[in-house]
Amino acid sequence: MTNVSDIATVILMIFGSFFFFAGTVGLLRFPDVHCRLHALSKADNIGLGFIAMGLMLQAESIPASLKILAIWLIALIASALTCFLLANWEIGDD
Amino acid sequence: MTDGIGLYDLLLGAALVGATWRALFGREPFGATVFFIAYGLLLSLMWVQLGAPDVALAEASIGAGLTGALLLGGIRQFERDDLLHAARGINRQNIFAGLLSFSLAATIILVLWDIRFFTDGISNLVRENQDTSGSSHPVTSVLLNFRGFDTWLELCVLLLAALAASIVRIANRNKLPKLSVQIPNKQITMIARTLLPILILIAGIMLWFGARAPGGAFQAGALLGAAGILLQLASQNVIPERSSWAFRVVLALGVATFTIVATSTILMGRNLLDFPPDWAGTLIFLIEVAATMSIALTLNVVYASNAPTGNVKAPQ
Repeated sequence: MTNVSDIATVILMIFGSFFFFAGTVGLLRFPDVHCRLHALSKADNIGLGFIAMGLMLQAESIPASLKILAIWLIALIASALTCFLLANWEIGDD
Repeated sequence: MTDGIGLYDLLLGAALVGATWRALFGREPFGATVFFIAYGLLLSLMWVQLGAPDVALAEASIGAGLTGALLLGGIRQFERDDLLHAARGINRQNIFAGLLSFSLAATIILVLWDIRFFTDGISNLVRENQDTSGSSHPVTSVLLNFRGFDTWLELCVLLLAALAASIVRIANRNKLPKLSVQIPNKQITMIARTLLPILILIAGIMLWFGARAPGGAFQAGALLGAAGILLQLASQNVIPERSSWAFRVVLALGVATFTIVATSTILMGRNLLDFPPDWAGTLIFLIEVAATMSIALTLNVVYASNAPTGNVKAPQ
């Protein structure tokens, strides 16, 4: 049982790291603000989501894993907000 | 928190030094501030590595978050001010500030060098007296009981900061921009509505659990303060009139509660801030609640000290 969740954690973390890696590459390589935002928000939302899922499997209790879930949800809100603000600022219609 | 220094610690240390460098020697104020915020976040990760989650929470919320917001607000205000850009280069002021920082650093290094043999510090002393402190978390015991005097003075410093910020605002009131008919940003308003209850809830959790786990008045105050700043960004005038009673009472609440508690301990024939063990828990909680309110308001007053004057209506 422990083994199954350990393996799942490793796989989820690898997925998460991949999205962060891809997001960072996108941030550095993409040409303009909107493309970069697209790359960044992918890393923030999906990458962090996979990593949070992986950590939730390792949490010692259900409340602890729910707290990790809450961190992901709050990060989602913040990421969506900053993405909107930056995109609007770029268009110049704030 | 394993013993020894791992690869992660080395990477973290290198990133910390890099962020510090860019924050200090960055070309323009905005970039330097972004690196300052990154520096604060990396520093709080470092505190976690050192097994000090209390300090990490305080650093992340106050050091990185709120100070970052203050700096960004300052930049927005003084963007076109030559002074902000003229500060680099060598002049008399810079040399003076450099000398002061250098002597401070030298003093700290000397003190650290002196105490290098006391590997345990006061941790044994704290552990032995934990039962009488009114808190089961050593950091809270030290901050609010054993070394309550220091925290009292810290609150005095915050009060002075809030007063200074208010005075500067009054002195500058003719230079501050008048609020134009600016429509509050829709996204920020929406997010403020979503995040406000969460921030207040987490501040309450921080405050309540501060007695037995990492957290406490400063972290809770920072979260409440952040909630207020979010409201300010959404163009809601959250700060009561500075001459009102509510404003004055809340601003002074932390220092006042500390003073009242300290006076009562003397009147009871004990030493200053020497809490009776049966009451210690209640007194600590009272002080923490009062300090949380004062800290939250202080942070908002400082943040609002260069905000435009006037009111905006919330969008319908």
